Amino acid sequence: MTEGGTARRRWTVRVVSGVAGLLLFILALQLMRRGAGGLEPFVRDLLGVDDAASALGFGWAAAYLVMSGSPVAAISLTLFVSGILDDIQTFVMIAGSRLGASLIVLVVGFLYALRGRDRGASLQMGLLSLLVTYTIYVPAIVIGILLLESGTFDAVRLAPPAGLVDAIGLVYDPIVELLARRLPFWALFIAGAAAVVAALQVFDRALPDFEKRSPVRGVGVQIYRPAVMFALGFVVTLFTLSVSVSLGILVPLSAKGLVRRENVIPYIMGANVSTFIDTLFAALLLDAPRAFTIVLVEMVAVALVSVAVLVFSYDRYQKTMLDILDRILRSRATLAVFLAVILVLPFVLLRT
Amino acid sequence: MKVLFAIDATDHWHAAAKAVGRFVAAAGGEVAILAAVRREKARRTALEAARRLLDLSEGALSTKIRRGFLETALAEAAREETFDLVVVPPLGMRDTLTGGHLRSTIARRVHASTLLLRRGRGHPRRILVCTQGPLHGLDNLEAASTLARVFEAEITVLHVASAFPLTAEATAEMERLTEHFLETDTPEARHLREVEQSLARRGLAGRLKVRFGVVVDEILDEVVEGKHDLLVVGAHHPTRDDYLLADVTGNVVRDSPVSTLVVRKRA
Repeated sequence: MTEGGTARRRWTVRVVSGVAGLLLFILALQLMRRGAGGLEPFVRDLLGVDDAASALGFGWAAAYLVMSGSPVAAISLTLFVSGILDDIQTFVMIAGSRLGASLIVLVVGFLYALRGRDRGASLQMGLLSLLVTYTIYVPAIVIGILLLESGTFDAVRLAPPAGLVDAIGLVYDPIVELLARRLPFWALFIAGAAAVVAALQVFDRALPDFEKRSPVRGVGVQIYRPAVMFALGFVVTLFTLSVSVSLGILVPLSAKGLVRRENVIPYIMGANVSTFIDTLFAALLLDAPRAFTIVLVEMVAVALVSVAVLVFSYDRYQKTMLDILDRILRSRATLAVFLAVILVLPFVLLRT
Repeated sequence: MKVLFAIDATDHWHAAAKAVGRFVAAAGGEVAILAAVRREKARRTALEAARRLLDLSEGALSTKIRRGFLETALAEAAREETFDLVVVPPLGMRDTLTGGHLRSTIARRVHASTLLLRRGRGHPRRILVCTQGPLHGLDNLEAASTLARVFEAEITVLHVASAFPLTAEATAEMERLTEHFLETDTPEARHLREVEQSLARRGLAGRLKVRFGVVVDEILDEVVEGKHDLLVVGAHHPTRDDYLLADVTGNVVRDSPVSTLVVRKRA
């Protein structure tokens, strides 16, 4: 096959994967939405999700179990649309899904196998990603709740065009109805959650080739401005939808998988903002304008905290994160204690 | 050698003036005194003190008078003529209040090697030379060696490795680099071996040091822990990539607790 033929084939695979991933993602949302209707007793009574703390713990723990944040964020939107969760509970559950997802970077061997990639993240990278996520998201949750309660973004609501909603209904309603007649609501919901995971995996194949096109190819050699790496993390994750995949893309840009220490943290911060883009899209597809606002507030809150850190105290923040990382990695005991705490914490919140 | 020596109305630069005079006398050259002092009487007093402390022949001294802020005056004066070295006095309260940004602004705007003074002894006893690799390393060493010979100072050459592993495989590679860095075949390790040979050839008392971590933090920590009194770093001439790349030199200059020599090769 000629070079042009190979390039055309690669392009075709990308386009087909992108479209297939999108179609599967829409189906997944419709299935979960339909299945979520019967979940209220399970969520409220059995799991005890009846306030913000338990919703945070639920999102966090669910991300551990599902090994990914995006499906859990999508689940939280469907629970909101079904009236099982309110604004604040949905907001913190989405945040919880990101806290849980950041642990997955640490368990990347399993995750990369799930997403079809063959490189496992280093322990240092997994822990650093987790530390950055936690320290940014905790104040972001507080700010986000204040923004939601103040109604600052209430006017910002986006609904899909009516034609799109009708088209989705026309295509997917028969499929969902067919499955709903054969499966109990909880199986429908689980099928939807599984379909989200599969959709993201398919969508991975549509990722553009950043190795050759990136203006920051020397991340292993040069030290870039924090704002530049923040922007790179943001843009890359707009396409990859996943922080862990975005981190994986740095590997071919570096020599032997080593990057300059100064480049890593702002990259993770940028990735943590745009990783919500699939959830934002899900809110749009669910035709739930208020859900769109909730996710937007989430993005804005994380972005505000990230930018504030970058502008006012980045050097100190970087030093603190790396010092904490060194302390955690000092011995197996400190690492074990740290991991035990973050593993147990969401379940403690769930039981509050 | 042509040196531009900036003075102000304080006495913070007096100790450094003696050292600069001694250096120029030993290395040969001339000094242009830049007085950015507004009041005429204060300017005259400062100029007289500078001539006395530099202790050079009249033929080796010249004067430039500027009104306005020192950072602007220095950049203008350094553009008018080609200087081998620009010496900047301790900048006082304005620099302190801006957290050192005035110093890093001057280092960025002056396109010549620049010695930014901090209050202290005047002449260095322990010089820390930073090298990222072959690009600037030998130039930095050359500048530091000249100073070390005149002032009989010790030299420590520092390289900071700030590699961070992305993958499990890279962790193993980094452990190998950390343990046997100087024995590895990386360009930086080869450069450091070359530096070691260069120090031996020059007959200078010097040693190599490798640290691992964030570059700016490790440099500043080494300055304090090693009790160095002069820091030597390199800087490239501004390029279009500067909008992407971090200003490591500027950050080091801003936060350095000791006098800093920014070595810039002539364009």
